Amino acid sequence: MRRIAVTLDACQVSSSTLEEAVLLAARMGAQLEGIFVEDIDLIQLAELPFLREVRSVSRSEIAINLTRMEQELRVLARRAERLLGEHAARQNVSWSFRIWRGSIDTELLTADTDADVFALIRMGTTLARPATTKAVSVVFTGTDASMRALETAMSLTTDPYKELNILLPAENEAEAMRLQELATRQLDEQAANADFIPLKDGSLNDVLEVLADSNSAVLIVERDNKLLQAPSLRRSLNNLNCPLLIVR
Amino acid sequence: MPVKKLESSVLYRRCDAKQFEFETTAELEDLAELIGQPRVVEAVNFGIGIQRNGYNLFALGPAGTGKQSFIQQYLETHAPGEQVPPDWCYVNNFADHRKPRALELPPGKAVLLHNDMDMLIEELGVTIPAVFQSDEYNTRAEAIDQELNERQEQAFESLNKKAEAKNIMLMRTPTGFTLAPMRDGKPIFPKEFRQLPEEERNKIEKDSNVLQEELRETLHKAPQWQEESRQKFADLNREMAAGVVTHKIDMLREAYQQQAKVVEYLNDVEEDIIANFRKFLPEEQRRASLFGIDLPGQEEEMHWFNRYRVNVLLAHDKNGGAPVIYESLPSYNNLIGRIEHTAQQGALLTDFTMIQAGALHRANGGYLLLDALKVLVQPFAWEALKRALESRKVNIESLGQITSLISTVSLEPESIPLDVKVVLLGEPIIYYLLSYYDSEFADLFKVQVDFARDMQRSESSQQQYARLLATLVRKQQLMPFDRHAVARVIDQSARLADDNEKLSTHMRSIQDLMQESDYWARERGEATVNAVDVQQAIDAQIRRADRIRERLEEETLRGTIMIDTAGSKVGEINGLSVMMLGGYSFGRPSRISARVRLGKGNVVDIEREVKMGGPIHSKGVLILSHFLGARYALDYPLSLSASLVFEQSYGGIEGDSASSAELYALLSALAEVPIRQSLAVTGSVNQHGEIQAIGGVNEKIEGFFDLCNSRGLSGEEGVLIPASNVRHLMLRHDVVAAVEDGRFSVYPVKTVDEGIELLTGVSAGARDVDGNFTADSINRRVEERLIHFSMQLQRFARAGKSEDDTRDDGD
Repeated sequence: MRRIAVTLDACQVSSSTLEEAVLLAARMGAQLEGIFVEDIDLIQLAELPFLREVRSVSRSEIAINLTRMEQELRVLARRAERLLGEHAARQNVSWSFRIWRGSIDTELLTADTDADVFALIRMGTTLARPATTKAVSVVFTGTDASMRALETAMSLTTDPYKELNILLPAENEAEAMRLQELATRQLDEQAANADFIPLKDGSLNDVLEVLADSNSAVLIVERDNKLLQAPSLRRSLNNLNCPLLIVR
Repeated sequence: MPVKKLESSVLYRRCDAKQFEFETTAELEDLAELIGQPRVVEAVNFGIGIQRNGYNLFALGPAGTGKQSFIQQYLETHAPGEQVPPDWCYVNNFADHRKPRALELPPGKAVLLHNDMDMLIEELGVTIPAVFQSDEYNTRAEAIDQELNERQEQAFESLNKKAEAKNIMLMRTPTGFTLAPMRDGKPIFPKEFRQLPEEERNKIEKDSNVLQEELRETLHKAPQWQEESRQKFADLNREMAAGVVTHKIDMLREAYQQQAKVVEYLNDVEEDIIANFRKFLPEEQRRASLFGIDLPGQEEEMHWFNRYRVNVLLAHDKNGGAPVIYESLPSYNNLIGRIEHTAQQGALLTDFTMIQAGALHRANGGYLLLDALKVLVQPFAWEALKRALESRKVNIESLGQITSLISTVSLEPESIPLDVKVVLLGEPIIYYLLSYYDSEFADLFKVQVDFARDMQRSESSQQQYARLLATLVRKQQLMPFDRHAVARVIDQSARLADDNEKLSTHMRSIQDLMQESDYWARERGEATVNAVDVQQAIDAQIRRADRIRERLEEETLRGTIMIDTAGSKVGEINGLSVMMLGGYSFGRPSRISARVRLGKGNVVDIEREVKMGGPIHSKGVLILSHFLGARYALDYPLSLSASLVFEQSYGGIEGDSASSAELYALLSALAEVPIRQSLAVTGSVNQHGEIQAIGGVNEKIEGFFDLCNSRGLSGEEGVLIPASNVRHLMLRHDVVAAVEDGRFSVYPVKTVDEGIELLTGVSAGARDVDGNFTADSINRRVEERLIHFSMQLQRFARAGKSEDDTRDDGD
């Protein structure tokens, strides 16, 4: 059975986010592993004496205190676990939950998990997401892992591949054609419904531009995609306007 | 002058079948009008014609006189030509769901509105989702979203850039944001920070504080941007929804433009649908979604759309005329309507679609027939009816509410104007009691429709009666009655009326007789009903009901009940009474005895003393003592003590029809002259000794005849009846035959003197010029006996003896 790991951090513990994670697992017929991320960078920074926090709802200002922050993280983790359990029970999804402490930038992708799909739900500052987005976008590089990413993307589309965008990072047209042929083979006779979009250089900006044009609801990439490295995962996620699924 | 016995011809007034020109009722036309009740027809014409407040009708008459069938038939004949009342609907009140609104529509339009609204909702279920799935909507909605995102992102981007320029990083915390120092895109941790030169640390700290202020301002603006975005989104939704809803509603407004309240309601519907357009979106659009991808969700209840439904309370055929409604169970709710509830998870829920019309609604604009007694025995029904008629509107309130027994939230539907003519049907006693005790009754039921229990009997009325019977034959799908059968039914009708000059209007009895006659005719395999069948039906009716009579007669024949029908006795006489058991009445003789002695002038009614005599009976007995005093003891004290008793009577006695018999017994005892036991007596007497008419004369004669006949008629037997009762005689054929053969006699008596002469064979006697009664006459003997008592009393008084010590056998 497939396994999907969903990372949750302090800013994502909402019922709807967790429900989406559970629905994703249900749709893929996968077991769900909820990973609550305690960002070690943030914890370490809390020791800086002048650091202050502005509360997002009350807009009150308060000095950062390590003990209080850890306490608040524990509260959030408990809430995340409870909500995840409730949603999973409702959808009859097998689930587990754990707390992981580490650096998002340097360690998150190496977190100790055997999940096939690693879902990173956006950690950016945007407070609302368009409700009308429906397309599924996948970056296809021709590797085995990107084949699996394409399969995952296929399983998430409803109307056969009509809303499927296959992004092809290729340095030239011939390479793009080769990738398209590979992907077409992977798809069945409905391949004609999918949109093949060549990327100029496969950079983050390049992908963001395509995502904005295609109105994507989710982006799927393979584990080793360079989007996940440069310049930092945190910044990549912050700039993405949709959740990111990493396929191993 | 001796009283002559009655000829057999006056004992029974026969309807001569020869007067009918038809062979069977099949040849006769139906009778449309009511016969023999001109007062009723006039009253109904008046009551229906007058259109003023309070002119409702009360049809009073004995049960079975056909009040309901006549009035219903009358109304059903007239109502189709009258104006059709409007239709009424209940619809949701969008301002206050607890107070549903009533809508008036022209006849036939309520159902159209109901269908139109159902169609509207069905269509909007298609068109609204289409609008909200359109490219236009998606583009515009996304643009609003995009604008918000861009505003927020630009603000954070701007902040981010400023921060990055100063080597500061914007980071999320569990409850907000913070600004941390960075180098090469990575945070500077405390250990590293402390190693920085103080000047640099101060600068970072200072820059951080400035940015902190900017961050706070940015966060302050976010809710305002979101609110603006939400408002734009709401305006867009409203615009898109209105685009489709208004167009549809406009078509309905056009169709119902003549009905201002309907248009007003449609305006409210339009507003509500626009405000709740999301309810019309397909379920999948309201389900949870995965990254915007639709997934199965919870079923939405369809109940919500009931708010746009139309509850058709009353719908009329536009050519149907005014309604005529008879409510057989006029309970409170059946009269004024009800609000039904449905149980959901232990709670009782209701809405305007569960409002049900009552009889007053259904009859609105027409006529409502109700049985008065049934209305009165139903809790709160009479008050509710009066309240509706007084206020001229129908308010549907649950009993729980008006009695404050139930405090659950319920509906208060808007009242509906009431324009109805109510016809109450009931026994006369109910009408009189209501008139006396209910002050509002006279204001609300001003038209009295008084059904007589009988009608004049004449040749022409018998012809009409025959047509009435023919109508009943067809209505009841009976076999045709031949003219002899019709004549026999008419005779029986006169017998039911207890008057040979009247015919009964008690249609139920007549109808029963005809149905039973039809049964017997079919049993005999006949194609028409003849007089024999009618007679068999009459005999069978009596046979089924006369077990008690038969038993009483048997006991009399066996001597258990002592009634002599031969010989003579002093102070004893055969009185006649009528027993009524269920719907059957029969006559029976009773021995009445009188004893007299010296006393204070009082006649003791033993029945009254033991409280077995009713007030009318007691009145009759009191009249006797005054008759005695006035006739025989004008100049001296009436020093008589007499006692009267109905022998072997173990039940109550009421009525004064035995008062003449009691007087005869008393006179016999005083005069010491025996009375013929072969005669029986009925009739009341007044203070002047005149014999007055009584009821049940036929049954009484037949009762005595039956006993005498069983013992064997010698020709001596007979009955004394008041002369004024002769016109009531409709005796059985066997009695008439016996009289014809001279085996039985009926004597019409006008005075006590006539009666006592018949009973004793002794002259009653009259006063001569000196004021003395004829020698040896009854009256002379009575007077002498009373004078004797008086003298005796005076002697006792002189001797100083009290009356109480006096001992006298009295006779």
